[in-house]
Amino acid sequence: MSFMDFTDLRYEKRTLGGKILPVVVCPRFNPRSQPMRVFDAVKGLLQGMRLTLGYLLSPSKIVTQQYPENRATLKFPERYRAILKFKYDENGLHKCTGCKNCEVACPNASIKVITRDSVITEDHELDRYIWRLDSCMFCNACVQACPFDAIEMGHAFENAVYDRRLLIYGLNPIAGPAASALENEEDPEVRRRMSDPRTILGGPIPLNGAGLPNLKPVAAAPFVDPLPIAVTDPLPPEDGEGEEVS
Amino acid sequence: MTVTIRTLNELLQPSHLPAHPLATQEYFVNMGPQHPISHGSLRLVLRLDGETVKEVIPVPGFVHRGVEKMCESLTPRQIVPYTDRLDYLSAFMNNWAITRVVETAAGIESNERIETIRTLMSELQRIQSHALWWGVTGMDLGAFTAFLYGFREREVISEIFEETVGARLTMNYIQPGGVMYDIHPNFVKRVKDVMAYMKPIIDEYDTLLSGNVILQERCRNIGILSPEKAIALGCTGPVLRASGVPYDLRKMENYGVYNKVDFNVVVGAVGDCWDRYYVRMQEMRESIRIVEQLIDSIPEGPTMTLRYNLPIEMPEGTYYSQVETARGVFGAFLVAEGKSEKPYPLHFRSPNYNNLWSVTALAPGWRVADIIAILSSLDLVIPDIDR
Amino acid sequence: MDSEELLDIVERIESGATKREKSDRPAVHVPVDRLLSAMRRLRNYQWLSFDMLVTHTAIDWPDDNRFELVYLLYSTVHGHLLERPQ
Ligand code: SF4
Ligand code: SF4
Repeated sequence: MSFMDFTDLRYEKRTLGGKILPVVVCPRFNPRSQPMRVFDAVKGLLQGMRLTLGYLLSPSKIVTQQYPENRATLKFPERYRAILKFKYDENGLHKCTGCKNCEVACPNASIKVITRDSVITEDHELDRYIWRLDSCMFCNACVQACPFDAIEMGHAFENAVYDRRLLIYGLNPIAGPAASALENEEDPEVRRRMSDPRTILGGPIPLNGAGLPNLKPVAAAPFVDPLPIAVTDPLPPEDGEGEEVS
Repeated sequence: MTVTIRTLNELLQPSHLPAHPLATQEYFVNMGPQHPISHGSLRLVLRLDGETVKEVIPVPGFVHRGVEKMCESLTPRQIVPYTDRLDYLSAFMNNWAITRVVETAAGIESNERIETIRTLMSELQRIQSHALWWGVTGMDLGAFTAFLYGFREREVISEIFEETVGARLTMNYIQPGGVMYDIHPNFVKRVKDVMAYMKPIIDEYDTLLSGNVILQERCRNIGILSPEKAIALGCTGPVLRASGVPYDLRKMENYGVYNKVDFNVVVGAVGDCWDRYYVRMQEMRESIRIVEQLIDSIPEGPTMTLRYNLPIEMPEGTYYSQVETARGVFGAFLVAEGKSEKPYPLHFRSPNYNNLWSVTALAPGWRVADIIAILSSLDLVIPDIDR
Repeated sequence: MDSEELLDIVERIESGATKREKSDRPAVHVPVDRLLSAMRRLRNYQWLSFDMLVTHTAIDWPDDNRFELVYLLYSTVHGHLLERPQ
């Protein structure tokens, strides 16, 4: 018997709130003479040290990851949620119809879907899909709400930038009808005219909650494109890479 | 009926003259808002007489975000991710509390598979939360090694969550009508591996820290909370159970599939810091037992019974549901007006808020260093207190 | 004890109490001037012994110009939960 015996658990039954519950009572300290207490204390400390020493001597048990160095080999589970991105079909066309279900589902207004009427068919279609990474909380509600399976969560997690305006993305590289609607059009020339290019960081910055009544921007300054930065790659960032704007 | 309200300013008036000319004068010391022990932004004002604590005045509110007010303008599905941000170490259980209240209100049926997955996830998270708590306690009491060991096991369980849920901390997994995704094909195997791995690890924890004489002496008979006082203060979870009251919602309320599994409620004998420490250690073992009983027999069935974009209609009335998180009873009180999907007011009963106030009863008479042990044994998560 | 019996007892020992409709748990209304005495009785009456205040909150009804305080009480002796808006 030592001062503290962890196997000394008492199993009993107790009543509470009209129910009989199986209960286990935690171990307590045993009375010990002073010299034996000193012995127990030293033994406890040495046992702990032996354990840590054991880990020191067997490096195979070490679980540390060398993070920035192991970028190339980092693996993510497929459901990992780090960045919102569009899904594309094999022709690079998006599936978003501009139905705004995701915008409604988003708890903190991180999504703004701007739609337009098609120049050719006058159908309702996507113009800009604006997603604010800075206020997004990666709850996946937008992905769950999308009836057309047009968006998904990607794995690019190194999204830190120096200016928070760079965290507002236009997700769609092309404005225009969804792939399903575009398929109905035969003439390649008309198809080309139906879609316009969009840049990832261009366009207006929507105020969060801009749709609420009585809410106005603080100063009604004339709109200037806040990002006079040449963006070369119009596609959203790929998996495993951060947004690189310098 | 009279109620005396004393402002913080009045409480903090410079202390009166010492009773005896040779006695020291009382003085105030701020512990926090930025203090390693506060694990967040919690300010504790200590009224001290020398090293002895006369009074502790908790000043919460530094992380107040108005979650409850925000929820008034959100639909039930949108509220769920906000509950992740209260007690972030019990995100699944918080999700479950709001889900339960919405499901009761709207009369949504769930099935065995959903309930089993919810139970499994909650128990895994309980182990994870306690493992992290164990490491942090070690660090608070001066054993930095324990911190690293606690994080190692947390990581192992986080990886399971990452695979099935896609997140490590803010889950938004348990939603009205079911769960977000079905479990990952690897889930069962991984959980079994981790449980086999965890069992010897908890014994290792005992060797490393519980057997350490410094920890034992800093916890033994320090900060004794009597069962009557604990109940009167509304403490729940391991804090209440350490005082010897076997109050565990997993047994008391019929939710999840807890009535199908065999596990013991862990209670303490005295209610001191040691009991609060060891209750959690033993709870990890009990949670492993629960997971092992459930993991082999996850029933078949759909994992989401509601179409996502349909509104959830809640008839007029008041509803309250609670679950047992890693820290105690987390409840959600919802008033539905019947006019819209949104709750009229929504109130969260958070376990840490009540557990925090037990420090006012526990601390007087102990030394400053004992406050560290007491606070550490309460396992507070500050965003849950401030909401 | 089921919720009906519980509410009957509460109504008997506290004259001002009325049952509350539309609540998923047993609940009573008490006028504000009787609140303290009602609370004492609920705690001390041995068939009730509501010893734990689980939570308390408030509901604002601006249309009725009314403010409702809600106390949720639990009895660790009997294991029943009473919600008592007032
Ligand atoms: S993940 Fe959530 S917060 Fe982010 S954009 Fe989608 S719905 Fe909004
Ligand atoms: S992403 Fe989906 S939900 Fe959002 S507008 Fe496009 S189609 Fe609609």
